[in-house]
Amino acid sequence: MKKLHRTLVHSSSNQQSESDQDIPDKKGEPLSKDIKVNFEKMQDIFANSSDAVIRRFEVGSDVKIGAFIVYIDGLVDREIVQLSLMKPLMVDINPTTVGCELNKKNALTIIKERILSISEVNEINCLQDAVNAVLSGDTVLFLDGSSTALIAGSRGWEARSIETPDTEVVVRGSREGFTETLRTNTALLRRRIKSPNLKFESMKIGRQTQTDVIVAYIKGIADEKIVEEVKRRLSRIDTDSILESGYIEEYIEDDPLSFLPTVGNSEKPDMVAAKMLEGRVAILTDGTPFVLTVPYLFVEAFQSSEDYYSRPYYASFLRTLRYIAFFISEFAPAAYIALTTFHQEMLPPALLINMAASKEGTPFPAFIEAMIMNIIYEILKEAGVRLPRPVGQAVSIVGALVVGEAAVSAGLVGAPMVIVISITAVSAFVVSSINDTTTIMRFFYMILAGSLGIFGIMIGAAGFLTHLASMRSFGVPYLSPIAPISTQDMKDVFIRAPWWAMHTRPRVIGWKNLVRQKYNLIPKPNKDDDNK
Amino acid sequence: MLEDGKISNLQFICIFVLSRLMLTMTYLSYFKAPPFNQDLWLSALLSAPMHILFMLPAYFLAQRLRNMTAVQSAEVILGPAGKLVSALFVWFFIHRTAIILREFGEFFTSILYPETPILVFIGLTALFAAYAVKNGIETICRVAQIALPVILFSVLLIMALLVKNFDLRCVLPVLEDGIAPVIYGAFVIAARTGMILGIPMLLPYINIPGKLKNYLIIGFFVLSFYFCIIVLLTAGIFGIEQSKIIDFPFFYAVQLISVGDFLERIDVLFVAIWISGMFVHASTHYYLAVLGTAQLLKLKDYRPIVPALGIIIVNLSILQSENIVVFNKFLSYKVYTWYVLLFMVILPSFLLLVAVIRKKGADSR
Amino acid sequence: MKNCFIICLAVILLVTLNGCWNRRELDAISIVTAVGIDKSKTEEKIQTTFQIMKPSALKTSGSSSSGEQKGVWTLSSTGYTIFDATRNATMQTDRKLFFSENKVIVIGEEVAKSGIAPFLDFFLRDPEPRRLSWLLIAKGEASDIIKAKHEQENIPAKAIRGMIKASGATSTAVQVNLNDFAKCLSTPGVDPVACRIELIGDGKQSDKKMCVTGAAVFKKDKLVGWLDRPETRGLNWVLGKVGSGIIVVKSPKEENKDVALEIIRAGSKITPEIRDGKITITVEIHEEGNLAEQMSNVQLTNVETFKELEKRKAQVIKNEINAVLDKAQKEWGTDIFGFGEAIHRKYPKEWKELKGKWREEFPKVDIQVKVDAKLRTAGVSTAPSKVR
Repeated sequence: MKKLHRTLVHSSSNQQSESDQDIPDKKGEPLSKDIKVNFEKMQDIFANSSDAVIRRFEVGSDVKIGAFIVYIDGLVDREIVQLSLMKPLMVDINPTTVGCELNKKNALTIIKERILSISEVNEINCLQDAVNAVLSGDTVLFLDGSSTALIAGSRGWEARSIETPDTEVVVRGSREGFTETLRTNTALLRRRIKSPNLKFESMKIGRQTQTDVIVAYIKGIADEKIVEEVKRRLSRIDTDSILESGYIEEYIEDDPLSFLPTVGNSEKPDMVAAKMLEGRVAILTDGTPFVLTVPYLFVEAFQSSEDYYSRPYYASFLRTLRYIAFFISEFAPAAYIALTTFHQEMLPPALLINMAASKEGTPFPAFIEAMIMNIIYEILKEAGVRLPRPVGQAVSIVGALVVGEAAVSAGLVGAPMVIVISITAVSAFVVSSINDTTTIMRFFYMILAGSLGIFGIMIGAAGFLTHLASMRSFGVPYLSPIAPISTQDMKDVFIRAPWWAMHTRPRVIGWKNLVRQKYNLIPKPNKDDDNK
Repeated sequence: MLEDGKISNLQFICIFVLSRLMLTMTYLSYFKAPPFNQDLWLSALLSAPMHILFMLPAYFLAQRLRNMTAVQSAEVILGPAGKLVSALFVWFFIHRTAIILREFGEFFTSILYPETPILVFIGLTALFAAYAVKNGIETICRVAQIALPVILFSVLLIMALLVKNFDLRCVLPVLEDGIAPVIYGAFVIAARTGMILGIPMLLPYINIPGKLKNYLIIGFFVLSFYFCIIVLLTAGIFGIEQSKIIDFPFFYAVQLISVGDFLERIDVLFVAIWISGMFVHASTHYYLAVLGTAQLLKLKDYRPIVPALGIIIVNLSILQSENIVVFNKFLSYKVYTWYVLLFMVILPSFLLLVAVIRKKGADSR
Repeated sequence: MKNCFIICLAVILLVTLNGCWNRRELDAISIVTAVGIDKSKTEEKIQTTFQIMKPSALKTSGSSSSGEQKGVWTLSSTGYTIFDATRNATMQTDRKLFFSENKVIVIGEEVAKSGIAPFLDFFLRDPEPRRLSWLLIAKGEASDIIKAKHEQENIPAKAIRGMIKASGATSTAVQVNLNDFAKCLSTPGVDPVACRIELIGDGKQSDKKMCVTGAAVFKKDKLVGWLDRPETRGLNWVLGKVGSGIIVVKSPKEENKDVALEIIRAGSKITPEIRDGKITITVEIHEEGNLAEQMSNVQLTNVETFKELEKRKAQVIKNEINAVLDKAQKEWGTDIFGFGEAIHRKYPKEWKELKGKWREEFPKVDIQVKVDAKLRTAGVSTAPSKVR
């Protein structure tokens, strides 16, 4: 194993050196004063890139100054380029508007300060920055006689508008979801937290993809150590590509071999804002609507944004229900196997008769039966998710018929098995954020149940609990606030206390700035009114 | 430090209470010990002060050398000769772990899985416990913190479900044979709490060691209360004479639960809940054995010896007695009480005495 | 990593290759619902009779099951011990017998007379059988009971269970399960009783009906006699186990007509007293009831008649108790009331001496019965409808 590891390391370092040769390393190479040199270099860099546009033209009416702009078609807003950049430079420019004679020396300053009617203009000196800017959708303007180029913010591409996310559907609450565009996402957060303390620290990850990643947190609430740790882990990532936040998740996880996520994700700005307000750090990645939040605790899987918007009694009821559903989806098939093959005495007599009767017609042991049904169910589920929607419906109909009816009447499996699998499947969707974990653990428990009954299940569960207890997410115990117990935080675990009762942020995460509201906010009738 | 985790007093009490309670709830035939009659519940109540008495030497020893475990302090106090005492402590924990695993194995093979080899239960529990041990005391404590409330609640639930079968007249006559057997009974109950030696082993890892005694005393009273419930339930349901001959009496009492006509024989469900407690019980002692060994051998990390020690423990567990009759003979109050007392009270008292004479360690004032 | 892999592999192999440990599929067990124990007639062995469920015939859901099919199957086997006989039964079934659902144990009269403790050891030692199984003593052969049919229930054992539970309505049978029996058996100062079951009706053996009434009285673990219905209620009065029932007395105004009085609640108190070495036991019965029915045509709801009815009721109760006391104390010398245990509770020191000779002492004990019977209501119609 060590050998394999060494070769892996070795080959990866080889790859690194090779790929370094592939990319023309022009980092730090300054721009030339000669526009021809710059032009050739740009042409060289963007050779064979059909979407790169390099447009040569001349600026000024009397003194002509050579210039060219570079942008990527499709990433820029053409209107900005044409109306705010090209038109002022080529048509509107004249000594009256400028106020003085244009020459090679002052051209850059004048153009930057007087001509370009674009809000975001920056100066750059080196080639690599120019290339990066172009690739990010900005337009770069090169002028003859100056070793500085101007970056005009012209980003504007076709993007999905803000839509209701499919993953976290709510009845009550904001329907906005994050989009693929980073700037939109930051805006969605900023709109919710109008505080200068909301910080967005930006960085680029991915050697090829150069993905923009933003670390967002609220200064004064988030623990600096966690922010620093997030930044440290992010800066460690040295890979080709970051296409989705899932990549990042796997690079920064605390327990990479675990079945369980130690990094949370959400598509909903209100959810992320709420988590940041509890002291968590969000990681926004360009190109995906899924925003990561750390630290992520086990109990978060059972919390939904809607819990906090609906009345506490029902919200608490739903919380409890989710825990029950989690246990059902985790243990139901295993418990069924254990009960029918090891501990029949526990079944009520009437049920035992019926189960025994339905068992008599089927060929497989209960364990095999459960395995078959579970695997068929997982296949159907996967097919239903991947297929286009109309076909997906067909799949579910076939699935329902085949699994539900035909399998029983054909005597392949017993009817009780179908019920168990259905309950399991439905319950699993209640706690959808750790659905993948429950699915795998379910098989694990089924194997243990099939061989040792309830002892197998429970010793496996004890092992799993040990695993949960041993995990940490960015320094925070994964099972907190249940273990180590924090009685104050239990207000938001199995129940959801009314807002006025939750004075403090979660102690394990928001300990830096614990008090989130005034005490004694419980609404009361005005006493003066009573006296009248 | 070998272990860099810190646990709270509450967590320590969780593992402490679980370590003692699980044995009574599953394996122990408590009626096969003095006072042999309906006064056992009085012994159970009296076990709290008895526990406090037994705790004193270990507790003062631990407080005197706060940043050292019992294994380390023996060496500091006695010099090179202390190695022998340290080794005895380590042996005690290894042997206890082996006994605990064997008890669970016998429990399961007797009640639920008569045809399964005992090695399966011992081996699997040891395997998962090894995983817990590898993750350190913090993890074990967190599991205990989750398991304990559930288990304590399960006993109360059992009590509520069994109350209709319960014959309160079972406590009469009180003090039939006088008070002496009752005190002896309390003595035997308290002497089974080998985890008392865990106090000097784990005190260095407790975040506020000064407050431990309050928690311990609460823990002892919780234990007393639950012993009392368990003893009364058994006696009230089976009668004294039957209780004396039934193995695993509390389990069989649970078997008699019958809710309505449909919920019967739900003992398996309760055993399922208890397994987590047994698991904590086993892992705690396993951990102490590993920690002690590592400190005895002055290792930098205890993790590498976890599997090796595990194999020794499993083998010891199986080889220590050839069948349940021999095993029970060793575990009977006549033998086991004194065996545990030697390690739990006599050795710490000796250490404490030498420490005071040789002025080792901080004065408790 | 390598170690981890090996361990994982070992665990998977360990748990999947286990073959036959304790695993029994539902279609590989024979669910026993009742067991009967007799002495074999032909050889010196024990004969056990099992009533085994046929799940496919009993299935409630699904329309295809033919209603006429018999729900159970009975089979007998012999062996030197109960467990031996049980295992021998597998030679006739294709499956292993499964006792956890067994709630009825019937023991034949002959076995009961020879002492039943050895026969119960299997049921108390093995983890499978329930301690809550009802223990019945058959008047006659246990196998006949097990083989008997029941019109309403597909599973006759279920009917037996129902009958035992329903006996609370008359309190003329005892409800004793294995645990109660074992408890009484091992406690000095109490002798056990058990439910009594018999076949009634004329004609062919197969047409006879099961009937749970009365009680079987034991001395130590040997059957010494039977209690009839009033005597059984007498026993239940003393034990405080009367739940409900009807007491029939003569109408105070028309002595040849009957009045039915319903028992609503009852309780008992046993107070032993030792004075100068002489043991007196006072049994106090508190009973409350209603006037439930009258065959006479006279209004009974007035203060005097109520008083009179209460007095007559108390007398009936007293008679029932005295009948059973007489039989148990004088005829059999068996302390089925737990008087010894009551003395133990109150006089632990004296009991130490008494314990050994309790059986000799018991018939000499003076037992006082005090009954306090009350009538509370008289139903909806206060007076009988006048026949005019």
